[in-house]
Amino acid sequence: MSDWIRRRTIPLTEGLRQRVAPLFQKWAGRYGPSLSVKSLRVRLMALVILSGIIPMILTAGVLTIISRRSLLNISVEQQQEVARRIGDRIVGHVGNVKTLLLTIVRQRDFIAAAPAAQGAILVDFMKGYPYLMECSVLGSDGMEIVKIVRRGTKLFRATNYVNRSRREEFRSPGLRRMSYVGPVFFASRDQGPQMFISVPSNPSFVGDESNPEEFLGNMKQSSAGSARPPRGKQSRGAVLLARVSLEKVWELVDDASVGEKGFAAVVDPKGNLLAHPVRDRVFAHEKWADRTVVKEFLEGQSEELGLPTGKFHTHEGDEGERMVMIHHRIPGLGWGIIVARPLKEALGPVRKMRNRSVLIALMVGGLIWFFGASLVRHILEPLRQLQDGVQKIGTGDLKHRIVANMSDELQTLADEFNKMAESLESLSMSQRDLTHMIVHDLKSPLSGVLGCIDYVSSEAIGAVTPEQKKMLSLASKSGKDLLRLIQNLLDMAKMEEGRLEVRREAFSILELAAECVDDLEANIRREKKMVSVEIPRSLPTIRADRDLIYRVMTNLLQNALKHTPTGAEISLRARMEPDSSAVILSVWDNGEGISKEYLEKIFEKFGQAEGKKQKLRVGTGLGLTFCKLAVEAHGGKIWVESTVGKGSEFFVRLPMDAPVELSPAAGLNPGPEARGAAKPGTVSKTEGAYT
Amino acid sequence: MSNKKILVVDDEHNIADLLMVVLTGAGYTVRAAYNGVEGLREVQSFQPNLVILDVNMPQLDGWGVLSSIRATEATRKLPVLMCTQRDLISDVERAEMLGASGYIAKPFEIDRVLHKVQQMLSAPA
Repeated sequence: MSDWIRRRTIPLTEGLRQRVAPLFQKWAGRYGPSLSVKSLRVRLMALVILSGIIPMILTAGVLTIISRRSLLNISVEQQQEVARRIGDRIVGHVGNVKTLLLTIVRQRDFIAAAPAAQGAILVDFMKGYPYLMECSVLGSDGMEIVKIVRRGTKLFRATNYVNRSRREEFRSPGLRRMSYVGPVFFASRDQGPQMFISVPSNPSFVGDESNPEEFLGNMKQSSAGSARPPRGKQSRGAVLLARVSLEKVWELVDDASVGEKGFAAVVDPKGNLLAHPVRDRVFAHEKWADRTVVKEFLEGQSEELGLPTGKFHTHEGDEGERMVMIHHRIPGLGWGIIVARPLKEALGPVRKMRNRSVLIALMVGGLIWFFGASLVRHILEPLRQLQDGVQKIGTGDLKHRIVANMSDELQTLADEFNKMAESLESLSMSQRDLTHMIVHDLKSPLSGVLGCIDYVSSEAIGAVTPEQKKMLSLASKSGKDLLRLIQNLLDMAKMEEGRLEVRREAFSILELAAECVDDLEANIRREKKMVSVEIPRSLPTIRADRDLIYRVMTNLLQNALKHTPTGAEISLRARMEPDSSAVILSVWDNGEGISKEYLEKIFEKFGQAEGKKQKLRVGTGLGLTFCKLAVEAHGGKIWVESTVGKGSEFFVRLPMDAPVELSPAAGLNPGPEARGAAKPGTVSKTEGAYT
Repeated sequence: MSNKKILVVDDEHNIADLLMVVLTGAGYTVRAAYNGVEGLREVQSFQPNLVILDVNMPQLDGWGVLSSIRATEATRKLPVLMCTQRDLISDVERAEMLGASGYIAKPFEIDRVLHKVQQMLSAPA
């Protein structure tokens, strides 16, 4: 089942996401990179808002549907009530007319009176009842004897007697002694609908003629005469006939209140419009037989009488708006009452409710957004601080501690990170302390060694043979090399902490280079390599830590010696940068070169260019690291350019610096005069002699 | 001593010098090479009776030189003394595996070096 759901919904949500996400990205892009669809913040906010709004929407939807139905039912009921009432009143009205006629007819001496007298009585009555358009007395032969006609507001005695002997309006009361209520007809173009009501002068029923059921006999056009007059003394009597307008019915229809825009209308059993709030439509003899609701009424005529059909439909009204229409049959008369009401009106309360709930939903949504946003921020802020803090620690700032007022789980996490940072910090500190201790402890005995050797060499305690001198010198050199290594280690540690003082003094690079080469002369000779110094005499003096730069140069030169085959060429070079802001030293060789991936690695601590066959190795791996730190302590830069198989060149860029710290070793005055005071010998070459 | 030739291969000039002085003083003819490639060349041209070979050297390290010596027919049985790191067992094992005739750990005592050299040179071929 869930599978089926998933199969249906996944393509849907995917499609939705594919369409929505880009739009969202575009919109979110304006608000900064932090608003990505994947961001936790956005997801949380969406969750919060949706969880608030969706239930509301659902509830509102359900309520809407329910109330719609019940409102429709209520409206229909109300409309049916109206129809019933109208129906009852119409029936009552017809009954009243009949009663009136009967009253007239039963008046003492009415039937026996002369036509003139009858006429007078009729006139009196007709004055009081404007819906009586015409009253006539019919003789037992069906001929009109007396006839009073209303024209406009005046009553006239008419003489155009009509022979109604064959007409039902005479035959029913005249022959069968039953009151008659005729179908509605339209007398002439400009007159509204009218009907004939006639009563016998000697009614056969004693009962209540206004009873709908007793009309039954009258209304059924029984050709066979299924309504049998009671047995008894059959007497042909006179008939009092009245032509009645539907004025009263119209009044009823007008008075009907069906909401604000609803209305009631009446149709006859054939679907002709009998009454309508807009009179003209009745005068226009509108046929309503083809309207759906009337059709239903007409079709439903064969149904049980007396019961309203109860069904309702929404139809398109005359103005095109949907109306709730019900029809109701007037029992006995058979007329249909149509009560219509605009759907919108009927459902008015629903719309109001829906609008209100939308408004509330928006307000609540706003509130949720507001509170949700602060909630989300409350959660995400510490998270972001955590993220920042961890990043700081991760990139080496071990002193940083994550400080934030967070709750529970996040706080625990932060505490753990802080603890970790602490132990890292103490670890690195103890490492540093250790290094310092070791270095100092190493230097002491070494000083002892070197001191003794020097003393003996100086022949202070006795003569020394050349051989002995040679050995002592070897020993001293080894010792000094070791000392230099130790010193480098110590200085590196200091530089990493930023504690090394760079003591600047002015010196000539050319001079320094020459010194380097001299000191390594023996080695150069033995390795049979050719070292040259290509430094222009015009190179200005530089202010830097002479000792450090000497060590850097020596290191680079030694590396060059080590990593070149016998007979290779090495060159020490220096030049000014075009804008005179710095000096660029370099040590060039035509040795094996260094492959690309190692060009930066070799400067890292213990970073060595080690191929699979261990072809390249740079001592302890610390030499270049020392160089890098020393150079950078001057604000300079060190790098290498190399091609495998062709050679390498190590560059050192030293900025010409303005401030000079007076160091005790410096005996020179810094200044422009120092420039150009170059040592003799632009280029010196030292060739390795062959043993 | 009959004039035996010893080749010292070590990139540390001081050590090479020391060995040269000591061994020359003991009566041998000594030459030094300061890197592996140079060392191999000297093996061919100098044709020593013994090679003292340092392990850590740039370009071609001691192991490479040793393998090369052993791979060449002429020098298959040439005595080679490896200078290994004191505590590194793997170095010792490697020395044996690659066919070094002996090893001595750095830093070494001069007496021991002389002793070893003598031993190796007088050993049956």
